[in-house]
Order: sequence, then structure tokens, then C-alpha cells
Amino acid sequence: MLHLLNQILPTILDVIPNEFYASGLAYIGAGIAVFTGFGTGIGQGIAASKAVEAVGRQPEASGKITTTMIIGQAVAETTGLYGLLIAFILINK
Amino acid sequence: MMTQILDYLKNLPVYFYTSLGIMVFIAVLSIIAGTKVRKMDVRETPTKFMTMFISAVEAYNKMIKGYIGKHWTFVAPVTLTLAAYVFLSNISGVFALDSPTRYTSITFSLSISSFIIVQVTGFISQNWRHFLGLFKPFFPMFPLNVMSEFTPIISMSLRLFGNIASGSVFLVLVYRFGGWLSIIIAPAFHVVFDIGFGLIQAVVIVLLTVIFASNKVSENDFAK
Repeated sequence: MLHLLNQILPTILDVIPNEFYASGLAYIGAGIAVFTGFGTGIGQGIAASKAVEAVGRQPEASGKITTTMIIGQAVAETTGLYGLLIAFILINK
Repeated sequence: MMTQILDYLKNLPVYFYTSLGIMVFIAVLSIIAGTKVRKMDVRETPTKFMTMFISAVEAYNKMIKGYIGKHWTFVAPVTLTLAAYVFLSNISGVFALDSPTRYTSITFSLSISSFIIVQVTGFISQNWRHFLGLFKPFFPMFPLNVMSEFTPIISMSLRLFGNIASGSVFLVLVYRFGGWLSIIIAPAFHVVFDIGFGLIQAVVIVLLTVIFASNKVSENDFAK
């Protein structure tokens, strides 16, 4: 199937490697790198839903629960930021 | 050699001077508040400003005493300075200064100083038995324990840098595509990104340092 693709593709697109080739692909890579935010968003949403459940069960402890939830989410956000760091590095290439 | 040093010192980037200015501001404020508290008479009542300072520092000291125990006189002032520095330099975007925590050199220095605080707390509390803690559950855990001492350096600095730098990139976009409308729109983004995330990250970095330090303290520090 790859052989078929190699025959069809040059008639549709015209890939000419000039001096913008590397930096153009680096921009595409920077866009793909931000996909690590997908898992981070899901994980932090689940943590927030458990916190809201806990406040619903015991409304007097809502101050402590909010503080703990914010600290936990700030720690869990680090892995999503690693993707952003790679995107920053790739944009400057 | 001398001309090279002077050349380097004259061409420092601007955020070094901002960082120095923030530290000078914190130092002047602390010295003024400290001398006023020391010269206060026992019988007279303090003004409202002094009461705010005194109750804030007392609440912070009580929290540190709950985590660390006997050696809180070392940990509490250092971590309060760290919290004040990180919070003020995250906010500097609102005052049109170039905030220092937007650059990885400053955040790496902060996380290295946090590492030093944790290790020195372990030394003060346990003298030389601090290194035996690396072999704690059983002997072959030594490489994993060494790695888990050093990885918070990288993760703490990248967390702080990523939050503040991404906020400032977003604000550049807002100012560029807002034009004249950004006087109305941009303060909302400043409050969420600069002040909100700045406060959360300052609390997180200090709390993580204190929690790591409380793992290194021996158990008979809590005996009264």
C-alpha cells in the first residue's frame, strides 16, 4: 500500500525540499506536541469531579477540599506542560 | 580578565535587575516590619497594619511547626521568603515589568535552592544518619532513592516556568489582536493568568518543599 501511495502522491502534492523544509516540519511537530494536554485535561476533570462529590457529601469541609484539589491539580498539570515546552523549543527552529 | 568581567556585568539582561529589585523590596519591607515589632511595648496596642503582619506570620509559623516540629526556626523564614519572592515576581506582569520567573534560569535557581533547603533540614535534624535514609526500605533501593531526590529539581522548575510563560504568551496574543479594545478585555486575562496562577504556583512550590523536608525529619523531633 505504501508503494501505491508513493505513486499517487507526487501527482497531487509537489514536495520540493527548499530551505524552508526543516522549519516547516518543525512547526507541524510543534502542533502535534501539544496533544499531551489531552490526558491532562481528562485527569484533572476526574479529580475535580471527585472534589465536587466530596463537597456534596459534607459541605462544612469545603474550604479544605478546595485547597487540596487546587494543589493536586497544580502538581498533575506538570506533564501537560512538558508538551508545551517541546512546542516552544520546536517553534524557534 | 577584568574587562571581560565588567563587560559581562554591563550586558546582563533586564530580568536580572528586576529580580534584584524584588529582593531589595522584600528586604526593606522585612527590616522595617522587624524593627517596628521589636521596639513595640508590651502594654500598647499595635496598629491595624502591624496586627495583619503579626497574625499572618504567626499562622504561617504554626503551620510549619505542624509539619516539621523542633527545627521550625530554620525552615519557616526561608520558605516565607521563597513564597514572597515567587508571588511578587509572578505578579510583575501587571506592573509592566519583565517577570523573572518567565525564564528558566531563575526557576532552576529557585528549585536548586529548594533542594538545598530539604537536604540541610535533613542534616540539622539527623546529623550524619541522614545518608542512611537513602537505603531505607531495603538495600537495593539505593538508585531509585537517589533519582527521586533529584527529579523534583527538574519538575518544580518546569512547572513554574510553564505556567507563567504560557500565560505571558497568551497575553501577547490578546494585546496584538485586541488593538484598542484590549484596555477593556486584557485586565480579566491578567487577573486569571498572572495573579491567579501566580498565587497557586507560589503556594505549590512552598508546600512541596515543606512536605519533602518533613520526610527527612526524625520522629523524636515532635516530642514535647
